[in-house]
Amino acid sequence: MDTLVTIEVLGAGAPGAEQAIDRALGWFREIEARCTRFDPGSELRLLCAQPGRPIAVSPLLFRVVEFAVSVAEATGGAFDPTVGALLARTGFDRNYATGVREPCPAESTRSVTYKAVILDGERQTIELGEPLVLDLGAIAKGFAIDLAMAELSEFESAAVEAGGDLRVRGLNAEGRSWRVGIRHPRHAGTLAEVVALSDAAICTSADDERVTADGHHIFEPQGRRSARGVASSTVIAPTAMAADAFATAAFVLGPVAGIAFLEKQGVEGMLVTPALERFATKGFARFTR
Amino acid sequence: MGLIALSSAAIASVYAVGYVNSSADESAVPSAVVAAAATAPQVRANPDVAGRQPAAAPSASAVGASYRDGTYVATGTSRHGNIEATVVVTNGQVVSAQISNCQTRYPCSKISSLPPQVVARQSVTVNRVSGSTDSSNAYLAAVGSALAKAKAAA
Repeated sequence: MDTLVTIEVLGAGAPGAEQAIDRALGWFREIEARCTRFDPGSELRLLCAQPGRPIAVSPLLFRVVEFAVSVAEATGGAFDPTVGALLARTGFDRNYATGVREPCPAESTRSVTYKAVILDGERQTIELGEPLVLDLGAIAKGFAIDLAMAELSEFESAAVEAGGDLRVRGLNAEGRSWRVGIRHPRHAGTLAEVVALSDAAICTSADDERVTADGHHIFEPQGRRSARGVASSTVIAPTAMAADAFATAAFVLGPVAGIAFLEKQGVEGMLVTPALERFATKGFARFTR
Repeated sequence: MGLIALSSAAIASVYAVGYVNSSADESAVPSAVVAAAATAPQVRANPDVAGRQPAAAPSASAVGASYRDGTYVATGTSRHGNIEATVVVTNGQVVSAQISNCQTRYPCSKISSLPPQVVARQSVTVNRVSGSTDSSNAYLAAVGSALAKAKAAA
């Protein structure tokens, strides 16, 4: 993961503290080895190389894909871990149903969706019904944060941050809730909001970071333009994996449907539109004061 | 199951399994399984050290146990010296996996977190100790060899 990971704990001098932190960091390496789509040797890529039949996968990969597909189902595909356009460019331009080679589509005309991902929880297999690539980048990073936090259970207080995703437990060194700034989507260097958190994860997806060096974007999977209605999407949830997936989902769903989705899931969030109008869940204000 | 509960369940189940990627000076030994194979010639297993009756084995396997009861001793090597592990199997379960002889240049107290993990997870798939990768590998190789003997005897 070419992302800076920061771990902060209270009581770092305690016996075993260093080992616990190293184990926590180890999860980022483990997730990277299994879930990246940029390494041909990753478990994810090996899975994507074998469409059309059930492939036994590790518990880790299974759980991440299971969660991604579940969020896709719950959002009607607003969040969708499958990537089709990339495949077209890399030569998977054969119509899987007919076997007829089609001209390489200029853009994402193929309609690959999460529905092509078939999970078997009993056998712990994943079958890709048609050739596709899964992009687990963001939620896998959230999952690594969650697993790292699990390794730090011996500390009364801890914070794990990676690429703008953050999860905290307990109180900070000053004995207060952790203060977390939400970057303003338009005014560089300023904050849109500051929230006080304890025992929660927070993630912000913003349009100003849609295209980065490694090609990560927030897709609008169904060709909808609704993602244009949001400049910044912030979600506070019990787990970083959920916060990450929900922030992306709410971003794509737009201000109204996005907030409705977050409230239905029982989490809090705030969406800022390009006109800097704010939409928030009913409970969000208790974090800002 | 709601999505939040699903994500929490995912964390709990994956954390329980642990990870195999070691950190720090991960050298030529990618996993304990490989290390166990490499040190196999040095294994000495003493299945009946504890004096248990071999006849107890069938009843143990009847409840789904995969290891035969007994005490198994094996050695794992590292460039810093050898580690001997003594694995005790009772009712088909690993009940202890102590470091019974530490001949490494560094104190084995550095990897004292590993034996409880082997017992808790009933396998060598544990979180290694960063900075003590060689010692971790040697210990896990020893346990892997001992468990291989316990399995073969079942």
